[in-house]
Amino acid sequence: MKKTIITLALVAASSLLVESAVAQATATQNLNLAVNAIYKISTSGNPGALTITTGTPGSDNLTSVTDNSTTYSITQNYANTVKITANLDAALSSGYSLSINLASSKGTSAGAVDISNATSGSALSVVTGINRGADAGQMITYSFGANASAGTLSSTAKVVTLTLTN
Amino acid sequence: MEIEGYTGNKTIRQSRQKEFVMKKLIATLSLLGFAGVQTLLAQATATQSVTLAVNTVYKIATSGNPSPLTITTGTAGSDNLTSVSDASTNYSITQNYGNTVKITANLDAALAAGYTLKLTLASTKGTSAGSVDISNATSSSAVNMVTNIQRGADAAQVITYNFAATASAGTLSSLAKTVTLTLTN
Repeated sequence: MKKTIITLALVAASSLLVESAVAQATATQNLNLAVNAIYKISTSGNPGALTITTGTPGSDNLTSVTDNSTTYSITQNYANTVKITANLDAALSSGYSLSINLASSKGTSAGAVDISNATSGSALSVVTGINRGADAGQMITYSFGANASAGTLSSTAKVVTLTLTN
Repeated sequence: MEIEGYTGNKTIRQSRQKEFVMKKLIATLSLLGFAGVQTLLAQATATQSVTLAVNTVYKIATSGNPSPLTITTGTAGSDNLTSVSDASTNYSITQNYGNTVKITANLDAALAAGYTLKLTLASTKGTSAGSVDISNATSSSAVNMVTNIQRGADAAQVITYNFAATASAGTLSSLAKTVTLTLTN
């Protein structure tokens, strides 16, 4: 009799333990996560006026001027082969040249690229092989050159478009 | 004398009548008293033994699934894309186990590096842990979301998801994930 009571007590105790151990309930939610392709590029502002003011006697190439007061930043998650192209709103007249140089830590800079004749239909690559991620505050350097034979140029506004693309 | 005899007989007769009435009254009252006593004692009883128990009850439910969490933009120069949030769902619980019950959360599988899913569970019966990163929380490493939940019910508490990604992690096609909320001791 005593043995039976002890056995029953042990069974009851173990039952309590099991009940205590599994005392829980669950609820689930299904989530859909997605990250779209993102391309972002911006510049810090506009460069100073590029005005040629001097030259060297005997040389048709006037002394060029440069500006590296601005930067660009990019963010992209598309691929590791993304590039930046550059173009003007309209080509420059003959005898004037504008080159652009974009520094890069996430891709390969093409160095100084002459964009004098690069328009939207003929944009030129200035940085290639850009890896996914962000590249902030990279320097933009403009160099403006002119020939004396091209004559003077009144203040002319030009628009340079930088495009981050695959 | 006759008058007196008559008078004496009359007195005796009246006395006997009084006695008879008195006895009748006593008998009547006795019967009534007995009936009254019998009425007071007219009862019966029965008993039942009732066994009562309340088992441990744990219940948790959600109102449904959140909307898709899709990152669509970022800031040029920042690797951290613009995160997105959803607070359109809620959870409800009922438990009678103790005052130290908690809710844990986990995913069916960890997220890849560069993607972060945070979860916040509001609570009025316990202490919310606030925004908790569950990106790497799986069934064997569930993380506490709400602790010290008191016995009782807590209905329609807001569930907030925040999904973040870095640009360097790349794009992510629609990925179904299951979040499990567990009410446990």
